[in-house]
Amino acid sequence: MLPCGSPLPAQIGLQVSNLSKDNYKSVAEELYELSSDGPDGSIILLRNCLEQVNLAENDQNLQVKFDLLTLVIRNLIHQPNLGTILCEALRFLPSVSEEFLANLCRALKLSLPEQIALGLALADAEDYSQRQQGLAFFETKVKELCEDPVPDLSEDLVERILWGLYSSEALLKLRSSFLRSLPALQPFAVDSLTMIPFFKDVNKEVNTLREFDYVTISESLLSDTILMDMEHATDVVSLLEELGFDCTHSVEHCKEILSQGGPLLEGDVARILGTVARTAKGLEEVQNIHGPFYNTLCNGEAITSKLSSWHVDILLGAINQLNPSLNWSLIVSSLDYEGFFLPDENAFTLFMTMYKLGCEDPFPIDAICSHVWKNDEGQLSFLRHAISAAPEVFSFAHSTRKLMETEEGNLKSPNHAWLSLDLLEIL
Amino acid sequence: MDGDGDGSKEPPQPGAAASAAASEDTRPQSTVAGLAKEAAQLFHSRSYQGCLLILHQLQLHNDEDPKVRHNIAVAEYYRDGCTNPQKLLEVLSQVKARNEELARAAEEQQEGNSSASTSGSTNSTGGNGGLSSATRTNSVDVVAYMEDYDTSIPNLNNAMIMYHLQRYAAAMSILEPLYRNIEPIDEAAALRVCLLMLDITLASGQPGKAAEVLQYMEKAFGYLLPPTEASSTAPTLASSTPETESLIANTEQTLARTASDEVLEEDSFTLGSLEVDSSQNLGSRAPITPAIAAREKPIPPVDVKLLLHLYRVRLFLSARNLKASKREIKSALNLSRENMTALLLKAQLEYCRGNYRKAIKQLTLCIGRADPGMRGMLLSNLGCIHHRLRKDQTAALYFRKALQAFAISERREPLSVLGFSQDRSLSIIYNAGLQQLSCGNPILASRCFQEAAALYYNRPLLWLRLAECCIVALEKGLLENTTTTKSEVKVTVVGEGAWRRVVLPGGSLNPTVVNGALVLKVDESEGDVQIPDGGEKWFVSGKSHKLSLSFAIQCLQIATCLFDRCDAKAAEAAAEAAVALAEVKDADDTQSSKGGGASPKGEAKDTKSLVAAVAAIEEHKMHETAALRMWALAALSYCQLGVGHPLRALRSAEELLRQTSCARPYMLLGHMYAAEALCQLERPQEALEHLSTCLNETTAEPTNAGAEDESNLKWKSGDNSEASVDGEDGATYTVGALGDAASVARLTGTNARASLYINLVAVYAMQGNLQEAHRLAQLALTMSPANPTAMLAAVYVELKLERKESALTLLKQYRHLCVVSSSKGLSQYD
Repeated sequence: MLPCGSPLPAQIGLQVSNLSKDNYKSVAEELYELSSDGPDGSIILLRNCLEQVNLAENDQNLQVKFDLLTLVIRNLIHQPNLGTILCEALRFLPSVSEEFLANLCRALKLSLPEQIALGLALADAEDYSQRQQGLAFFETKVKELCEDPVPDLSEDLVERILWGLYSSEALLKLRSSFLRSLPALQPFAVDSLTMIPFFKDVNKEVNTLREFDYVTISESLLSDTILMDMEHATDVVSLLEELGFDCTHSVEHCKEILSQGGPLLEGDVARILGTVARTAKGLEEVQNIHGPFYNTLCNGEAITSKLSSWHVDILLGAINQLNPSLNWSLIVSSLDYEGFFLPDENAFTLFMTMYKLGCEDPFPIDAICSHVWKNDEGQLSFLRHAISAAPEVFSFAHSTRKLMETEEGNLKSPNHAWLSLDLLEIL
Repeated sequence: MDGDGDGSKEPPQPGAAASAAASEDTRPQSTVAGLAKEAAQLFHSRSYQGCLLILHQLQLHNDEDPKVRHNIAVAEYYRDGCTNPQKLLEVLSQVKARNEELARAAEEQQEGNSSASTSGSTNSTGGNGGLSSATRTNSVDVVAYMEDYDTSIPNLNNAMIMYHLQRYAAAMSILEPLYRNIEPIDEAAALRVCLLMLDITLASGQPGKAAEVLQYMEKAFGYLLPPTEASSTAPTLASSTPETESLIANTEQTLARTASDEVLEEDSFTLGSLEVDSSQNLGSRAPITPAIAAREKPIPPVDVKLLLHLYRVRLFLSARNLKASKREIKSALNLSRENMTALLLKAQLEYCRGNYRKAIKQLTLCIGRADPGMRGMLLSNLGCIHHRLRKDQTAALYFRKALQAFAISERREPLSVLGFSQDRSLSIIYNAGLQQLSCGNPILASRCFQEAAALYYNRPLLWLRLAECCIVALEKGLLENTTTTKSEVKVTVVGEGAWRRVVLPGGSLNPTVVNGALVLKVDESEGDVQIPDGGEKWFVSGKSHKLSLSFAIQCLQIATCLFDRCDAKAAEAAAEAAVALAEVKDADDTQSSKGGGASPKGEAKDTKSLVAAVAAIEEHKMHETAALRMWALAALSYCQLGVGHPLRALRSAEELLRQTSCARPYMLLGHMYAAEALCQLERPQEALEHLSTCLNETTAEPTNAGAEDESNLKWKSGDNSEASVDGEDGATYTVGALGDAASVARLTGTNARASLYINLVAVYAMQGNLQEAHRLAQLALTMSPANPTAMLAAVYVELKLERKESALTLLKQYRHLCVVSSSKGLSQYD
């Protein structure tokens, strides 16, 4: 709702009443802008147009105003909230009757489908008599439509009409005749998903809609792409976490699991590393679901031993085999995902072990120090452990910008952490 | 595939051929009968080609005989691997027509005879031997004729094929008359009729009818023994069955076996689904049907007994009567240790009892000896269990593999009707969709649901799920239209955590949105999103629908409409069940008062438990429907607010509030949505009334007031754990957890209350009652200091009171709550 002092109604009112042939185009554009912001604008605009048209019988700009009103209504007809807008706009008009609608439609030369939509919209009114008028208008128009079908009714409208027809038992007869003429009105509607309940006798018994013959011809029971999409939607990282340590039983097995999703990319690897590091000290509630999984979905000998931690060498072996051309600095910068967090030093050490297993290059300090991550907590947790890590685990020695060696005395730390300008800046 | 396929159905009726042939007078009877017998044997040993040869010979004797034609058609159907049901159906209907014709002729003849005989008998009223015996022979002939022209066999076969084509309603309409007039049908066929009835009723969720048939069977076939007795006799019999298994017995087992999976699966639905739902019935469908056995080879009683037990298990399981199910499973396993169905049902039982590990074990035991179709089912069941264990990705993977199993089993050979009938991919894809939804993948989920619509189009739940997909997509900002303003609103939405979903609807009442000149544009444009893409071809529907709020509204409308249509029926069914229950109780009472013998008592008890099970199912369904309807109305109201259609939103909210037994959280939502709609309609006074009712109700709740802090804590912990699930609006979540008290406390708890206060602040502010607004804003802020909306409301009120200083302080103090959209709005306002 609008606050009282809003300039919107005044502006719209002014524009509408000053409308003339000369400024039609610009005003229409401005009004369109104003009304496209929300229902309020549209309501006010429609109300103003109607008032102007009603009042100004001798106005020489009457035609232009009609044009505007037509434009406005045509725009609104395709909005899902036409009901509210129309009813609110008409709320203060004294006599809204079936006749009024008919006159309006005649004056604006609205097409039959548009008239039906208007009738339906009025049927949303809170005022009982208005609602009845709207329904009555709707009924006559649908009758006309059945007698003289208009091709290419929009599917949306077909649905709206059907709901209108189903809203009252009195319209039962009209409903069936409309359904009969429907194929002529809109040939595709019959196939539409949302139409099914109208066409099928819905009770508790089921006839599947899938035809045997159709399936035989197309040779598949489902849309072909859906399985593939499901495959791509598989999140191997969560899968790995759910299945637990036993995934790293052997390289082959690990590969099998990691290849359940789409191709393994840098982002995935980053999340795998993060997950493994985070869960290194133990997974909560291991439900022992890996065994059945292995038996039913993987081919291989049964696993006898149960692992109690991640075997990172196997994991990394599998990753490298699956995608040998991984870009590891990209992986490190992909660590900025929601949920990355290194809880303790062990996790950090494990992470670095994995990094070193994955690639031999020095750690890309840029990737973690060049900017503040979206997941800043995760970044901080990483930096915190990095700074206090032993030099053989992590070193800032190869940081690109460093403080002068001379100052080393004051800022002594084994892994050169406080010499790295990158680090200092990011902190 | 093989065993299952061939076994699971055998409509042909060689026996009929034999008898048909036998009835021929003009031919040397012995040869014809011999040929018929041979044909039957060949058929049963699955050498259809040989069988056909003989049948053709028989046809030479009398090419008019419909039975021979019928049998030829059936044998051909089998020879071709059951790939051309249409052809068989045609022949069946021809045979049926021909039979009816012949029967009519026979009847006329009989009439002629009887009139003759009556005249004869009137002549010699003394009733002398000669004449009456003549009449008798006559009528015997006629009876034989009638038997020959009996249409029940072709009808039964017809129903069976319909069943295999998964057209249950059609099958039922053929079968129902047969069942109603079951007496004259010979026993073996009658048994098939009953079994098929059972499968169909269970498949299409009509437990009442199923129980009725089951009771009839127990009476009619006389195999019912009190459970204890059964178990004692069982071992001996059981040991003999495995070896001697006749083909038919085999059939039955396979059938039943598959049937049970279905069941399992069905349950899995229940389990699988996150909510209270009717989905329980969704999955069920038993394939099966008993073949028409030859007369010479009736189903061994043990197997019938086994089947009866299994059906009872299924009924009890769906009624959640675990104790009774356990008992029945035990008796079934006593009859046959290796029966797959029984084992699967046992797994299901464990699943129902929450012993997931046991259930998994049971299933993995079975999976080794499963054929591909079964494998799919088993995998799907495993998926359901993992879903329960909250191993989302693993569950999704199981579902995917299950679907693949069906696809692969299909590719190996041309699709047969049997394969088609056993295909459960539609049910599984529903499961998979649900799983995707809970993994936060609404778009893929909606595709799955739309695919599953081919089967579940008349389940309101499916439509609710589709709507849920839309809402989730909206909250995740996945809907296509991204105008700048839209994205602003989106930010707020996403920024709000789990519980704040409740705030959201009220959120648009918040000062920022109300005041900017660019107001409330939430989504008119949403309508545009719906442009359907014409690309893909779907089985059912011409095109897939893209997600949008409009689509959500449509789905919800359909769902409510379905509720309305089901309602009358459900009430009826429930009433019926209750009456039946009462009757049985009466009978029981009278019986026990009469001091009837032990065995009748046992029987009565048995029937009683069955009827009670049905009553329980119906009642359960009613509750579910009520809960789901509330959800649907709340969501409808929400979506209509979303598309800027407050009139309709108001109507839905009011309807929601009118529901009897409207649960607390829904009440709250109903009032909130109604208030929002009224505000949009510029009627703040009425909105205020709604909100105050709400407020009174929440404060009236003592538990809340007392346990405020506690629940606050709960909240926070809850937030994290729920993080993956949410993104749905409050309503959705509520449905999910309706059962447990915690969630209720949650919705009516602190945060809900805070948002309520915020809404009140907005309304008061609009009305110019700034003092009240200020007070409430402070309350809201203290109640949930982390709530950005609360902070903004407070700031807004300060500004309205022209206290810029304190507004600034507030803003600084809560700087960490970054609220992108709102602060923009604020600056505009300033």
